[in-house]
Amino acid sequence: MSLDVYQRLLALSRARAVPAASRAHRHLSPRPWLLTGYHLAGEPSAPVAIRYGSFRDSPKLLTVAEPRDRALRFAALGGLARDLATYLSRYTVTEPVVRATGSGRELDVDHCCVDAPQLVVPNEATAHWVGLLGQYLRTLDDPVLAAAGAHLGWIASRRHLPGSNVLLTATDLLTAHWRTGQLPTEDGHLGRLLAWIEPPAGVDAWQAARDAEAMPPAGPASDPSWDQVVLRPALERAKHQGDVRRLKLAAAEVLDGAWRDTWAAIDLVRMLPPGEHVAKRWESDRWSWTRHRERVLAGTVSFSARLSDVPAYRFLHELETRTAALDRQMALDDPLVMARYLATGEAVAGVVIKRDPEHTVVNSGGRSVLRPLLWVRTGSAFDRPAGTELWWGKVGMVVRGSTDDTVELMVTSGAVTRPKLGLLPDADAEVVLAPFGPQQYFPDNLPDELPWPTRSSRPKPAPEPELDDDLDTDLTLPAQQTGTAADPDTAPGRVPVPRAVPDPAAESRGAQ
Amino acid sequence: MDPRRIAGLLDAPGCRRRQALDAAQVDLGVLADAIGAPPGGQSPYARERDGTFTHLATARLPELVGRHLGIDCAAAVETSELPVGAGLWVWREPKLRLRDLPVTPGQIVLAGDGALLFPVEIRSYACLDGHADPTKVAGTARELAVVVAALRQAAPVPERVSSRCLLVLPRNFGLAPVGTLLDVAPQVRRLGWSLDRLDAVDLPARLREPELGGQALVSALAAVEARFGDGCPSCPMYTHCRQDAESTGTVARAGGAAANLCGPVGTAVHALALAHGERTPSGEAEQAIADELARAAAAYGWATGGRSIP
Repeated sequence: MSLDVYQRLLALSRARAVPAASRAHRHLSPRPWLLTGYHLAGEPSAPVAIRYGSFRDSPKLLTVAEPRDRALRFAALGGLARDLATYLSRYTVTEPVVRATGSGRELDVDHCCVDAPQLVVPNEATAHWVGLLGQYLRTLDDPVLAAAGAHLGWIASRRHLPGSNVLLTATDLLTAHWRTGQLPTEDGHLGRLLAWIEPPAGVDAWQAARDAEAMPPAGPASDPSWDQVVLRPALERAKHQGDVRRLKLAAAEVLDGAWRDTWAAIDLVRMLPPGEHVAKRWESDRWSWTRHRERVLAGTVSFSARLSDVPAYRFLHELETRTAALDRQMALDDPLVMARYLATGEAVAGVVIKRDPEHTVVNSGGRSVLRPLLWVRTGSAFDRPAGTELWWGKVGMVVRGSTDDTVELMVTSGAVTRPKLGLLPDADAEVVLAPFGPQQYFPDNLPDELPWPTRSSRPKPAPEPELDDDLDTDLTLPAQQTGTAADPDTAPGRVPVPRAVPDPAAESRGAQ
Repeated sequence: MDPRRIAGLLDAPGCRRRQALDAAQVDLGVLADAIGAPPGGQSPYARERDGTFTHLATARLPELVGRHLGIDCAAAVETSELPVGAGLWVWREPKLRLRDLPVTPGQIVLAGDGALLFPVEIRSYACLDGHADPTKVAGTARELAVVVAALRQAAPVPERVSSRCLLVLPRNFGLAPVGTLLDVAPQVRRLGWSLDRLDAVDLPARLREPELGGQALVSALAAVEARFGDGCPSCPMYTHCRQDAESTGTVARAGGAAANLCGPVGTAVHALALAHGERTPSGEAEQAIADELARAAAAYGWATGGRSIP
């Protein structure tokens, strides 16, 4: 998008981030649960230290004196699991909601939780780690740990759904609302991002970002030299002398930066007025939480490693629906997001210079129907073809033709009866015509044949001994495509498949 | 140079500075010292895990090789040259060459079925529920491509070295090894393409001097044109080139998307002047860029300042 590039160039030349949104597009819980931590290098199932909690000034700190000792690890994780359960238990209050069921004619009363939990982590890698921890805990026999694993699994599964706010990353919070002048990959570093948005007084963003790089990493991978110089002696001491003070001090020191930065990111986004549709998207998360709780209570929580056939089709369908809905809602909520579509020419802004509310056409039934005409003067040529549909609020129109500075439009819905002609824009009114009409609903009826990405067409692997039953089909993909450009990092059509997906039927009921 | 370094050529396509760095075989430790780059390195815990897993996996290699490649073999045998026939071999510190570049992997494990040799690679990142981190697998595939290409250069019959490799990873959260076949033929072809361009680099005479270090090395490298882009953070010259890009205000500092859109317009100041109509575009290309950016500038002005578009 050219607006992104323009904003990045502006930021680069000003050495300061520029706003990319004027509304908050993420729901921010009044009491989020933050988590930052380190695991042992290369071993996501062996946490070294985790700092978590809902209170900025009194975080809890979990440390494991010997992360590779399973008993010690489980004891520490047990504390985390109990605290998580306590936090989640705040979100059990439900309210009755009247909903249409069946064909939409009957009404039914359902119960939905009035609020849902929200987990905020510093970066994408930590969000991924949360999913891994959940997966690991679910393999254990301990009921408390397994329950925490189920909850973390649900939280992590929401991360893949556009518009879901159950698991937020601070880097995503900031990149959704600000644009920096550095490489997009560098935006994944929380400290650097914050330095661009709020550099300390008297320092430009470049210097502030370099200073931020020198700070301890936000995790979950620790700095290798810190491992060597600080962590190793601290762990040795904790292990042999049972003295964990040094470990706790070292962990608190390195995790403090990420903890404060994550809160700072939340504070920055809280200063923006929330977008109108945010509450609606959060409602979908609340329904999902309600359903997840029901499954937990009924003991029917399940997570599948890989989807195929109908569940995969439904999941893809939900992703598509949510992506379209999120784009539309953000653009309608926020002029700065709408500006992206103005910049690409998909939307058009201008002044109504002429109206013909009495214009009629003969429809296919031979009747003459009212189809008012509008002429809009634009700043630059509108280059989409005749027939393009545009919307002004609920008024839908199609482009009849355009010249260098004028677009001729015919209203086709929303204001095509005499009582509703008052809904048309006045002459001389400034309008923004967007490619977003009313919320689109895509029927999720199953097609006769499932589209190829969701079919389980991969040949079944040869029978394996029990331990090795799940060999990686992703890894063997290039082997099957010999002769085509099948570099695993550029392979086309790769759909990220989540590790765990909640029941799509339950989701879509609460989706919009 | 180890395979990872040569594979790094594929990360930064079209950067002549990066090519010069490898063509001149500059010592990365000396370079990091010279540009004051932060120390890299591996965590002792990662090294220990690596070692433990390699030990465990090596013991179970015959079984994995048998299952995935259909080769019956006993434990790996030490070798000091490219083996022939059927079996499983470990070749420690082989001295290989890829074109003119030395390739020095720590060890290469090879499985042979009599006709073909298959490289076997043991890595310690997890394969969870049948999924391994795709970025890491892609990195491993590029490194394996270097090994395959170097072995082919050493082999009397290059076709005898297969591009199908056996990748051994720990399963889920434990250390039980699982194997999977990975065909690196596309990476081998891409590597060949990159090496053709590497041959064409005319190295500044100063870079050919042995024992070049410190500021002399940096200035010799700086004389070669760099191409800053999204792949740069993994390059040893990153911090230096970044500083360069920041001081010149080049568009590429903001990433590949910006550089692609701005094309021949090199600096952000120039591009913004075009966007704001403060500069007359010269030529058709600049005109197109100016139009595109002016549209974005107008939309941004409308959204932030309430400036009307018409």
